Amino acid sequence: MSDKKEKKVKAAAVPETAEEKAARKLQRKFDKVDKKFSWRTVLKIVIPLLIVLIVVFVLVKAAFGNDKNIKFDTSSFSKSDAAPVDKTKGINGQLLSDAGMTIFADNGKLRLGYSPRDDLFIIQDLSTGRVFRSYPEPIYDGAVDENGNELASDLSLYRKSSETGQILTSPVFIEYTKSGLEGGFTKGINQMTELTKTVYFIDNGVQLVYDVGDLDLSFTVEITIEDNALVYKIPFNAIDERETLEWEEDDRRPFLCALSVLPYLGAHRDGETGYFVSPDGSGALTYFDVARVSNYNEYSKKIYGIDATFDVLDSPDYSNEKLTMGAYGIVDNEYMLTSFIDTGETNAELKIGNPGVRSLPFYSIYFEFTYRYFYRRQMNKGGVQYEMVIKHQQIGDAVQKTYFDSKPEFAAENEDDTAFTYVDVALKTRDLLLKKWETQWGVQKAVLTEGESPMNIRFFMGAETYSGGVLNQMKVMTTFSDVKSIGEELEESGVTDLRLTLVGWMNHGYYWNSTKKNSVDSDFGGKKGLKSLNSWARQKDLTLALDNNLLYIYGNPASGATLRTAVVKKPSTFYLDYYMNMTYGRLMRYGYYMSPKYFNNKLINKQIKNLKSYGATEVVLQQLGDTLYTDYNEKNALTRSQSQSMYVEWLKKYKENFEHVSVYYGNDYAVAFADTVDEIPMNKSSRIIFDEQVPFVQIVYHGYVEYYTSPINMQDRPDYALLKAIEYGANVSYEVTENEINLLMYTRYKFLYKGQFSLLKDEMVESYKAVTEAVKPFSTQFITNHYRLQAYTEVFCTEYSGGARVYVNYTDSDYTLPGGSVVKAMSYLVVNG
Amino acid sequence: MKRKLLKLLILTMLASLVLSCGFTADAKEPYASYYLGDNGAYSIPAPYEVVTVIDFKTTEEGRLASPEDIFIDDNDVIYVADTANDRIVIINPMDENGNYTLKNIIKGDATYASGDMSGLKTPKGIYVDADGTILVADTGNNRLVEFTKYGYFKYSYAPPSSSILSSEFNYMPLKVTKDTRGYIYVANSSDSNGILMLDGDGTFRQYFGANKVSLTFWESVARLLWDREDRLGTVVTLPYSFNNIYASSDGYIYATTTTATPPQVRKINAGGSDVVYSGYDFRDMYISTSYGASTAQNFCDVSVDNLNNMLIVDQQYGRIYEYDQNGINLFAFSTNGTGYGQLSLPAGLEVDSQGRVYVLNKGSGTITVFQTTEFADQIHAANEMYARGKYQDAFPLWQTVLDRDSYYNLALKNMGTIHMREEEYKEAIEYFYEAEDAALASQAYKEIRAEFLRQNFPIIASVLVGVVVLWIVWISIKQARRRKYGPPPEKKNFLTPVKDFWGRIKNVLAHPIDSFEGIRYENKGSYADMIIIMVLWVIIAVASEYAVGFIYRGGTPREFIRPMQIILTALLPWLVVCTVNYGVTTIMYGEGRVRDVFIGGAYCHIPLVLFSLPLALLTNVLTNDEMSLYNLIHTLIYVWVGLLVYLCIKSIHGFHPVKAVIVTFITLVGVALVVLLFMIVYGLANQLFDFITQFGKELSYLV
Repeated sequence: MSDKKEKKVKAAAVPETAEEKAARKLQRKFDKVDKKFSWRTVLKIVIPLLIVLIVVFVLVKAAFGNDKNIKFDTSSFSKSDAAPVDKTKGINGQLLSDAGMTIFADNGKLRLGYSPRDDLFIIQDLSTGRVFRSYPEPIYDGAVDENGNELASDLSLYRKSSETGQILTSPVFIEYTKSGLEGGFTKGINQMTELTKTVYFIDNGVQLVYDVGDLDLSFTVEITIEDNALVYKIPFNAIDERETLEWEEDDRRPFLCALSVLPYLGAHRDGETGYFVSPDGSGALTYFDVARVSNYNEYSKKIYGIDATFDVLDSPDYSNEKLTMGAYGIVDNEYMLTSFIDTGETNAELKIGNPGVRSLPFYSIYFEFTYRYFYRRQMNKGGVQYEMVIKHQQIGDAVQKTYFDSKPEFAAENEDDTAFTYVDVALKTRDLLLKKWETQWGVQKAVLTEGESPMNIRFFMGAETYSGGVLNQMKVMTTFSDVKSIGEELEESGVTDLRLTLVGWMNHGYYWNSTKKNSVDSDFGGKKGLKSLNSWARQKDLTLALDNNLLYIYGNPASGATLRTAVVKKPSTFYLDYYMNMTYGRLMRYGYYMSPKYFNNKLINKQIKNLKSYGATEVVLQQLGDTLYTDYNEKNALTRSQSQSMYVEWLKKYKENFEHVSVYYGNDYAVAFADTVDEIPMNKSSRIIFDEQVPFVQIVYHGYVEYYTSPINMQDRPDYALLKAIEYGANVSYEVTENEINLLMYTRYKFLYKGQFSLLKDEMVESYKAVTEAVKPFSTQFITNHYRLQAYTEVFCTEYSGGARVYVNYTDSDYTLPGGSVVKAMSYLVVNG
Repeated sequence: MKRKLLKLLILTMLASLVLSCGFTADAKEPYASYYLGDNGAYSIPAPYEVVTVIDFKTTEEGRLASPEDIFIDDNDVIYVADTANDRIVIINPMDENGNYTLKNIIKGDATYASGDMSGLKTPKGIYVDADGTILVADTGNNRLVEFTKYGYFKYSYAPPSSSILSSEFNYMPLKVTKDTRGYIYVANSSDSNGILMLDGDGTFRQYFGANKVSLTFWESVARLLWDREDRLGTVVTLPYSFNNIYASSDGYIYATTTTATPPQVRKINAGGSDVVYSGYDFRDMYISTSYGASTAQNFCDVSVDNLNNMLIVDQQYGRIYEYDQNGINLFAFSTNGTGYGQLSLPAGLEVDSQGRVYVLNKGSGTITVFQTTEFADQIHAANEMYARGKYQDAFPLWQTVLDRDSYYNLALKNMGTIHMREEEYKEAIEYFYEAEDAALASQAYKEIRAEFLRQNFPIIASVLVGVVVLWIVWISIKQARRRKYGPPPEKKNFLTPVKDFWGRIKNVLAHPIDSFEGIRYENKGSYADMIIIMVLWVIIAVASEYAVGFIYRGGTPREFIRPMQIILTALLPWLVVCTVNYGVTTIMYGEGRVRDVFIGGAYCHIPLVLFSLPLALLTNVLTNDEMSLYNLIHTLIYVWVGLLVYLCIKSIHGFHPVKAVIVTFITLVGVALVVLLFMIVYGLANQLFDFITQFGKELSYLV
């Protein structure tokens, strides 16, 4: 009998009392409730909880994002595998790790030897027999100098057990972080404790495979010879960051941050002859025989300027210029080494160490390739900042080439004997750059056939005040009709060959919000006025250029653009603010950096169309020649190298649409396409590692591209700036206004102390005469030499390929040349050859 | 051929190594250059450029180690207290090649403790007499010591003793100087009593120029509430001590103190009183970075150039400030850093006879030498001419300065003042307008106005008399007609509502109690009136701001007027007071309805509506001298408004006059509470938002 039936029988047998009945009913109710609780309540709790969690997740993701979510498209990276091993050599292609000096390659120009035991590379220039070492030869016990004086031995520095010995003999420097939550450590590879090195023969060189056990990392460095160059390559596919079980549990794993190859190749001791050449600003020399104030920090600077996404400036940087190209030189009288980055320059840094750095008595110069950057993470404004490392690798292959040029013994006494100088390095760099532009970007840069105007007048049209009231905020400094009248006034004074650049001509003036539609501000004369100015300029045969801000968003994104869609994000989840240098030692936030992808997708075509509708034929493009950054915006993620490629595509597009394209400062990838460089660097960084400033960049570019100085009326010393322009073969710029400058008092544009045309006219006419005589005639020629005439004397000579010499005297007294000609004080002299 | 010259250059450089490294002049200096004007910091072309750095890197004697003081004598010989090397280094003046060479080093053979009187220990101060006697603050040996000009020991001063000096007196001289009378001044370490003033023989004379105790607001309150005994055990606030002193040739003692707040730098006369800079705050509010770096500056040395301009250096930021003898900031320049021409923990500053500025870098053990640029020379020359009263000579020089830098306000002010002295007031005021200097513009305007009145008095008087006569005649005719024909019949036209409105306004002003009672008990007020009055008030408030004259705007341009802010300021008090008042009167048995309170509140604005704009317009013909009259009228208007508010509360709610006072007071307290509440809620909301942001960011790293 079933239980139910049994109960029924019992119930029938025993009559139920009222209490029992009530109790039974109550029990049934409880049972019902229990039954309901068991499933409905769970759902009632779980489903809302799930919804809340999903919403929180989505909100957090949407609101803040995280650099882990960023997907960089790395398909454009050049990624190669390690070179195949030449198994015909060594033991199945491998060389014993304690083998002595072994010749790996010989191409008739260079011979490459490597000793795994001493970690020493030897490169011999077969044309002269000169030998170069990957680290300097020690001073042995009992060694004497050329005067017979005994030298202090430094053999102890080379002991393998010592830290200095390990650093010195390391063919590779590695920067890494152990947990991703702390700063990086840079060490010589031989300082790593769990290191396995395997040496292989490859075609034309040697392959070093390093396995760093304590970092769960392996990578390969290939050193080969090619023509008269030593080539260092770090193949991307051979970098293996093993994600072991331990690391998978926690993303606090070691990361490879940077690698440098042969950092002590070409290193010199304190007091030796020679110098390093760096393309810092216009160019800078670091002498080995100049005692300097101790500085135990290396000079370290990114090629193409800082990356605002990672590099935080706390105050305006008055002392630094940018590096416009990935090149450096090491010059001794009898030889020069020219090092050039073939691949990966956007993520490379130039490092220069002076004696004392790493407790070693050497000057050293090398490139460091950065795979991962550090950034400051901050949860709230004003909160503590933590240094963290990004998770994504930023470059593919890294390839650097060092060219060896040497000559037999140099004797200063011999009149016909010439030493290598920075000019040779610059000329070599120019050749390499031209070749690279052709192979990388398909650009065959032609030699200039016609010189441009020797003077550029930047007309500052106007800017809005920051007062924020209801009155018209625009301060009109110059109108289009003023431009005409100034042009005509100058023409009457004999200044006829001019380039006119309009600056801040768009709606809202100089601080135009680049996300808005660009239209011509009616305060300056409107579209009609601009068109009329254009036709006037054509009629006068003057060049009229329109200055354009592409990537700075002054204010907040507008016209449909939002922070999320249009602004660069830092890996720290903050948007990238744009800070203006307020010139009195302070940075002032004013807007954002725009995502290059946003500009590419939404704005570039509109901008070109608008510019064309104004009749523009020459455009000056801000940011493309001097500003490069990474974007961590989820929608627009872009690495620094990808930004560079995007810029190049834009430059091509502008070139297709306009007759003449100009960029600022002159990063080499932009110069490849530009017809003109504005505000070319005319100074070196004010760093104690640099002893002398030289026109390295100018020597590289001269004859291939026209370049102009920054407005010389905005310099502290305009007279000096004009002479510098003449020395460096640069056309000059002035920034002028029609109205009084102090109208700009309450705008953000406070850099122009003296700019009213009426005050500048005489000075401009004089400058025009000077550059017409000393710069313009040589603009299509190459600079073949540049030198200081006498030690401690500020008199310089620039020689051009046509044979002319331009002497510039910065001193207060006249300088008499050997032939009797006199270069007047604070003046110049042109001697045609 | 030419490339060989480079080799020669290198060899020559090696052969001629001196103490300094020469500089290639640059078109742009590696630091900020600006001046501190009345309304902010304005960038200028660099006033000083670096000519060289005396870095000692090639001397066998080695570099300076943490040097703390520098002195330059009348012959431009440089003396350095090379503190960590326990020595004095003497450097020859700049030679014709722009180089500096070592002259002498004073360093005892043995330590002072072992009996060698010439032994120095961490000397931190130095002064050199006109006869070449070198006076050193031998800090580590707690004494002053004198050396002959050849560097031989001359005299060791005993520590000062006097009954005035307390038993806890600890003698550790940091800096030393002498005035023209031969008194020795010593800045003693951590001595809050002032500068020690000694006779020429080292006898203690008195404390000089003691700093005052600077108390915070709460410390002052505590002093008022508790007496000395009650405050026993609490931290004692002492005056700040001095960290550097300088005696100028005209008899003043300049001193820098250890405080970051005023008085950071003092100019003290022989009587111990401050001159020029009394109460002056030397803090540079523009030096902090946008990332919130501290603005706490440490002014560590002061010096005076030949033109009596005062230069001070800030160790924290490496910034140098120059003030003219009137205390006007001429320049601010330089910065700390590792680059050429940048400073490294500057500890001392001196100016030589050529106007070159020497800054002693404690961090790098070097001396950075600046020289004036053409721009600074122009300003110095113009200022000098101006100070000497050669105004006609100064004028073109100031014009040159202005041509070079259009933002240089001092030029505008001084050019305007020169016009003033020539009684060319109209020209002067144009300069003052451009310089945005209301005080000077007021002086010029006063003269222009007086001149105008002098010239036009007959016309003005005639017009005034004519107007009065016409007005009297008009009234007389009107009254006569009224007597003859009775009051004119009421005609309704489009102006009737305006006339009615004006009648109600007049009634409020003439009979406020009746008017307010009428609102409550006779339903006389209307929402239309309320809206019209408040709209008028908003318009007039905005218009008044724009109408205020240049002088009464303090020179601030009209572009800075923010109408939205004015509208908010005009409406918020009405809304808040009425709301609070209604709330308060509801629980205090007030009879007024919401409607009555708000309409009555609007009526209270009538004096403002009527008189604000005329008063603002009046400022266009007033000078600063009539400021008190302006303030009086302004105050009277607000007193009138206050009275109306009181009468409004009393009449609308039917309160007894005393109760109305209480309710008015409670209303004000309520308004204060609402404001406080708003601030708290605003602050909390900010905190909450910040918390959510932080929480979200943290989460974003987890999910």
